[in-house]
Amino acid sequence: MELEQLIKSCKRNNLKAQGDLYQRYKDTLYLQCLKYSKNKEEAQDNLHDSFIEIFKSIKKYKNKGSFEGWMKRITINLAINKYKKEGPLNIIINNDILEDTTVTDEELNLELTNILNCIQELPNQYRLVFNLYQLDGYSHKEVAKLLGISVNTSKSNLHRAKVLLKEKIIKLNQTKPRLYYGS
Amino acid sequence: MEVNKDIGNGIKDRLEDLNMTPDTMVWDKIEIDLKKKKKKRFAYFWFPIAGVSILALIFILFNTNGSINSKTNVTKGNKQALSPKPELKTKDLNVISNNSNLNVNSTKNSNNNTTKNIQVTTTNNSITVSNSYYINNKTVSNKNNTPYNNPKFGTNKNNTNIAFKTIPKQLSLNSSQELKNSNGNGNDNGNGNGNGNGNGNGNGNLKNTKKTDSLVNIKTKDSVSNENKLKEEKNSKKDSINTPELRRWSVLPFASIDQFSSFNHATTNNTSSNYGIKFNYLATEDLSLRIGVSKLNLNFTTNEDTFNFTEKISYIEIPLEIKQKLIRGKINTSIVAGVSYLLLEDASIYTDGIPNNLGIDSIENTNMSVNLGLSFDTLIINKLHFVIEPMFKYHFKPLENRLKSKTYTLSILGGLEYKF
Repeated sequence: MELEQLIKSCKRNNLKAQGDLYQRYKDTLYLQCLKYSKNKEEAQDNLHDSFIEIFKSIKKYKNKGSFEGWMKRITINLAINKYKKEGPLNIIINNDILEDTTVTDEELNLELTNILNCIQELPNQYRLVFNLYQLDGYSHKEVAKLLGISVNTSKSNLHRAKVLLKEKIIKLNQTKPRLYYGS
Repeated sequence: MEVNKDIGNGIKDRLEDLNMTPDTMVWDKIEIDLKKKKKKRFAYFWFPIAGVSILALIFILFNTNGSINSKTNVTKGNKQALSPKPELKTKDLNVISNNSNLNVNSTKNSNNNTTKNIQVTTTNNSITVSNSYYINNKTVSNKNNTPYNNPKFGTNKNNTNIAFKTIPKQLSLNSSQELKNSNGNGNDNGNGNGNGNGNGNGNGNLKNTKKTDSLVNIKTKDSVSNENKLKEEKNSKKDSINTPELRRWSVLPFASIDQFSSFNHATTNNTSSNYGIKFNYLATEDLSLRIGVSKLNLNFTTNEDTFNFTEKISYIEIPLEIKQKLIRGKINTSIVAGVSYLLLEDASIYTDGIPNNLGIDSIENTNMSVNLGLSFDTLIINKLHFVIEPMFKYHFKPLENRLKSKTYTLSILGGLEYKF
């Protein structure tokens, strides 16, 4: 079924169309949820909430812009709201603002799930800032507005997130089997 | 040589290859929740329908009461008209029975307070009931147990046979004498046949054994029901002369300026408005019911964490209100109370002027408000009134969950009300 037709059917609360839409976008949005969540279970919860919200709000979608982008924004928004509900975001004042945050391709040659785990293990606010800015292309100004923080806080959180990620990746590289690297 | 790259960009590139699938139970749970939501939605949509039904019911009740009252008046009027004026003609039969023993149907119909009008036409020597008789229960009987004292009986000098066409069992009256006595009494012995005898001297089975409250009028030309209708018309004309005409219905196209706010979030740049139409039904002289439909456009800015969120939300509003007149004068003053049902039509959010619909899903699709206000109206020209209504509307749910507060609107409505 064409996407436009599928959306129309979903607007009429057609359960089969909703199922088709879910099947079409579940992996994309699940990945989005995984990046913003702490673990798989939380990600699946977010995915559930996101699709419920998407079906509820689909009547508001006016076929302007990317439908996938619209769904992703709902998913992101729900993830942000969830951590906002959990109380003030954990802000750590960093002293290592000038620390190097570059890695080699070799160092990043890890299992993708391991890399994902590194992101999930970040403190909530760092994870949100890193995802919004680095992976989803929001500007620092937009990130600041969404999270209710200043632009400078957004920048420093991002840097701190990268530092933490580098530390984790180096650790993973150290535990990597030698056979994997070759000689 | 190893090339260093920013860890953020590096991770982004790597994650593009990541594919993961959620467990199948996620859809199962979504499906269950969607089915639940459908049920809830169904319940929601009954609110306005229920509102309209209640209004219609009230309207019907008031109308019914009105018609009952008018019927009572008509009956009284008929009685007054019948008593002094011996205008009944001899060819029609009208039986009005109080405490009557006359049971025309085989089922015993011994209601004390029963009026039975039997229209009879004569053909040669037989009198035949041509129309079905009807029973005006209570309308006459409640206050009128006393019989008509001065009825006029028709005279039938011949042997007369009265047959009820439309009644399963026939009542035949054999009489060799004139029916003169005003206190004629119909008597049914249970087999549905009765023979009437004027003054109780005939050979028939229907005897005047008791001079009770029964009244038999015989007319042969005009049916009593027609006469009743004419009298009813006369009475209604009298009523219309005696009481000023109430214009029960009115229509009020309106526009209002609204101020949307919440108790713990200040709003700025409020340029909210509402326009639509209300239909008003005057149930009593002072109380009216109204229903309407309007478009509520909310446009406001909230300031959160140094960011300005401008929101444009439009709802279809269906108000259901009661208006009670308090002061009559050149400017009539009324109090208005009711509820409004709100259906989300469109919404958009801007952060510092940039479209950003991230919070759009937190806006409620449906809402209800409780309304309280005053109404001032003054007559401009015939039937046309100018109306001003300051109104407070408190929302049951916050219009937007993000605000996490109880929200309300203050409005000033202006419109022209046409009464008809």
